[in-house]
Amino acid sequence: MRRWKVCGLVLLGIAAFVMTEAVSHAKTPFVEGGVVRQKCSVCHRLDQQGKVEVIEETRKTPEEWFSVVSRMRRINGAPIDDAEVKPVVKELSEFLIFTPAEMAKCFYYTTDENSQFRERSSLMKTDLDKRIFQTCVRCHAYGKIISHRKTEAQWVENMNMHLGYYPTVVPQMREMDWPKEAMDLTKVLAKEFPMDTPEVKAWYDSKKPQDLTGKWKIAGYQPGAGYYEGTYTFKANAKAGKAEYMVEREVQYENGMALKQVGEGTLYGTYHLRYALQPSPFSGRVEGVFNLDAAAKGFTGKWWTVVQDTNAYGNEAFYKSDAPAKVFAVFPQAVKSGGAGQTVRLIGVNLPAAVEVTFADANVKAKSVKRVDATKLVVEVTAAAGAAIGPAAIQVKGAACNESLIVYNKLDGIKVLPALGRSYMYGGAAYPPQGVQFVARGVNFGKDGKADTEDDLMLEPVAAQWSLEQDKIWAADNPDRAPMAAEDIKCLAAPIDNGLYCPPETVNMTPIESRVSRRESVGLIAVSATYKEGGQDMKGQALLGVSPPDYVTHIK
Amino acid sequence: MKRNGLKGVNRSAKRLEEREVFGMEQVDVIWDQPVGCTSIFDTGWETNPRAATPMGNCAPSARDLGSCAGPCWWPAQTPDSMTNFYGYQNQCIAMERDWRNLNYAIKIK
Amino acid sequence: MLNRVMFPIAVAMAVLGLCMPAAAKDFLYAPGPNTLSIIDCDTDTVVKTLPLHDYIIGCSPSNDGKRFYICGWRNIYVVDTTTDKIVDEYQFWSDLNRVNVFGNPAPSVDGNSIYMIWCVTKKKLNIPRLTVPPWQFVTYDIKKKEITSSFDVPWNTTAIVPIQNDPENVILMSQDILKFNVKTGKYTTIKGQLHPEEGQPMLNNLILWVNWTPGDSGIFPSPAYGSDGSLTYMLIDRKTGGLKMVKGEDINVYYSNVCSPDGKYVYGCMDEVYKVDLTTGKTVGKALAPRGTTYAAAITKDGKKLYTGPSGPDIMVWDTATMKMTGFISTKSDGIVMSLISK
Repeated sequence: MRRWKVCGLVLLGIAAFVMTEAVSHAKTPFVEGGVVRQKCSVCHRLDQQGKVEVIEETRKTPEEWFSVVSRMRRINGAPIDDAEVKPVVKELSEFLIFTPAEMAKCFYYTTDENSQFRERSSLMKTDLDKRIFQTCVRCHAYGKIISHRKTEAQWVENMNMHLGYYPTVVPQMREMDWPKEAMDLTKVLAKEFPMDTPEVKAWYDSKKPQDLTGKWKIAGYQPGAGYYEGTYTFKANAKAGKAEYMVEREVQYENGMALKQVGEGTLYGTYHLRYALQPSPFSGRVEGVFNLDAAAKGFTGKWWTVVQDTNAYGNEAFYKSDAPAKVFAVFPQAVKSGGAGQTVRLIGVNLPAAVEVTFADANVKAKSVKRVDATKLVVEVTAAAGAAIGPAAIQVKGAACNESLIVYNKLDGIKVLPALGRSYMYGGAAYPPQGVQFVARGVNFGKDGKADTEDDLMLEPVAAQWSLEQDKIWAADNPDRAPMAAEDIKCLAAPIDNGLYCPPETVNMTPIESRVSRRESVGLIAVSATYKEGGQDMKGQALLGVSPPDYVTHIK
Repeated sequence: MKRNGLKGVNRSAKRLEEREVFGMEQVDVIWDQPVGCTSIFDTGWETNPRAATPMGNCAPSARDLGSCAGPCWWPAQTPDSMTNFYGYQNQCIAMERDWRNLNYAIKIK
Repeated sequence: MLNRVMFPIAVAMAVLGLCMPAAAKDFLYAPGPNTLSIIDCDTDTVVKTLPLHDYIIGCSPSNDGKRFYICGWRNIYVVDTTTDKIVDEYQFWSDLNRVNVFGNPAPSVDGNSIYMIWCVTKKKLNIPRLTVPPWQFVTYDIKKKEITSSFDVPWNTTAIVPIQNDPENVILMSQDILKFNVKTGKYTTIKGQLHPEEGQPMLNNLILWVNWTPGDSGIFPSPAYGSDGSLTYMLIDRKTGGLKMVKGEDINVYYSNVCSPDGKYVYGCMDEVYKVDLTTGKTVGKALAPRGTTYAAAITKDGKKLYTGPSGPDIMVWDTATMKMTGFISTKSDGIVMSLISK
């Protein structure tokens, strides 16, 4: 009897040992010696399922992981120093990142873009959009909400955190019962933005580490500077860790300007690249965010200057030199019908030696094609007088191509973009002024011949004359505005050569005694561009707002 | 105020086109929004589309930061003293004089 | 003969004069971030500055005016207004019991306690979860320096108005206007705002300022904006807790209001400063605030001078008869609250 008791006890002990071991070696992909377990397990232990509690109940973009880690350090005393932040975010992103399909919807929010561009409340169509807008998107950008996936329990914790850390949300949103409506919304958010789905699992099962080492062909466009092409060279930076690269960037602009930059980049979750390039004679520090299509071996995304005294940015794509043959950019993008013809560059990778270029519209022809090298074709394009106005798809034999040329018959006017530019004033050493680069583009009014309709064709930039004027656009709807508008143009006057407005340091937070209510140098003014072609005078106008600095970046 | 936007007509134009910002919403100050507060995000606190003053806050910003930032009305855009930046006022006790000292930038590294 | 009669009379009068208290003078106590400014309302100058080390969200005099309570998020600082020194500090916050004291600390009728609204977040050491109870109505015994009770109140309870003739109850400005029993924690709605009565509009009422002083009109006014586009002045009688509503003829936009000593007018401020006749609801005076937007308001005991501010470092001085700004007082810091105390 005693022997059985002893055996029973031993068996129990073994079972307990096995179970403990099973839990501690269980489901978490975060290894015990890794930075996430080292730095986070003071508070985030393994739960009953063997997962790191709370952390493994949520997925995010790497940028939102940076926000979270920053909050852990700032409020919860997490033992993570400056140099350890990126390794922690990298490891989190390895296992808890968005899929590329999820990332595509919120990609804009990972860049410096003013999300107001996409997030007008008038664009909120569905009931869910409207509920999210009302409950969340009066403090946050919508992009922030859709940059998270959580279990229902974590959506509830998220609302709890708002009530705990930011209780002013309740009086702020006092025309609704915010605590109740936010909690009701958590069930919906858990369904729409869930932690796990079959698609997510399928992507995680299929994703493979990527090696970016080598040369990549770039094509891009920078407002104010124009089209450019060039090369990235990526070299593994083993000293800095896994998925770290030294980056060299060499580009040549169509206007002849050449730029060489060096920096460092990190590839998160096998596809999301963030890089930082050192200042050059032409720009301050540059950051970039790009997403990789692994099958096509190509990145698309955006770079921008961080010390933003010019708000320079570029949208670009770059493809690996050994990627499947593809044409991925064309510049310029418009050709006039009935004219002498236009020289057009097709940028791609691995372009076949014997190359043939045709267009979906037979009236558009490639008069000659010169293959400069495996990355560039120079094509003389003509469009017959009767060619259809609108996009004509480009076909390149032996290479994939999803590009089109816009065919137009005449220039009907010009349009200034952005329609509302936002500039930040000087806010002290930590907040340099941020300007706006306006561009005047040619416009063809399309088949209906009417301005500002759906079929309008946006054409290439024109060399316009620029000036600043008093706002009459906003003032037209608001009679109280006129005296303020006169003040605004007086305060905000500055050069606008080539459409580039940058507020001088005298535009700042100091109250101006002569202004109503002693306002500082904020305001809304108009930006005008004029252009003459074929005896026709064309004018376009946009609005420019100058606001106080954005004091807390990257929490919104 | 709404304006119809023009969009690029092919994929590369869409990718490489200018950023358009469609303009700021008109808001019903009296009812739809909390009195005195802005309605829009990113930009948010620093732009406030009221009839007479479409840019800038409900109050001149130098008078607004302390009362809006401190109590955490705009934690996504201004430093809040309740949770994230307790003691933020040490950088600047009178905004219109001390604004040059402010530094709350949280950068992604 | 005359000297023998007059001399003792003169001595008696002199002695009496020494014993009689001097006529009370009005002072403004304007706390801001890291600074308390004390202003003489006869000369409209800052006569004393005390250092504080906090961001200031609310303040209140004691019932007898001898104390001035200044509310930072985590602490209350106590000023002795006879010596103008900080004499005490009540601390409420710890890392695991994160208390934010919201708005104005209100003295109980017997003066032995302070009432506060707390937003609380509880944490456990190294546990990654927050416990967030509903906002709390807290009674703090200032002699014993301890919390005597804490009750759940609805979210968005931002101001407390003690009822002089009913010490067990206070009015709470909350999602709705409530009558709250400080002993039992039970409450009833006296006016629906977020939850209006049948057929009534929803009301938007942001109450962060309770501009009062001992010996004032006894009315607490606040502006409520209706979903029907109306403005109603909610006038709470601080003696009885009764609520009277006066419809405003114009939609003036206010942060806060204060009543004239005789209760006939209400003054309020935001970008502009207004004077409204409470018998008609009509705006009888209005001016753009030259120094800029202001939040709080205070009125002298004789009703002749109105102060609006701070907000930014300035407090504007107004002649209530003409509603013209007669000057402004510059302080060191951007405050948002102030109280007038006669002493």
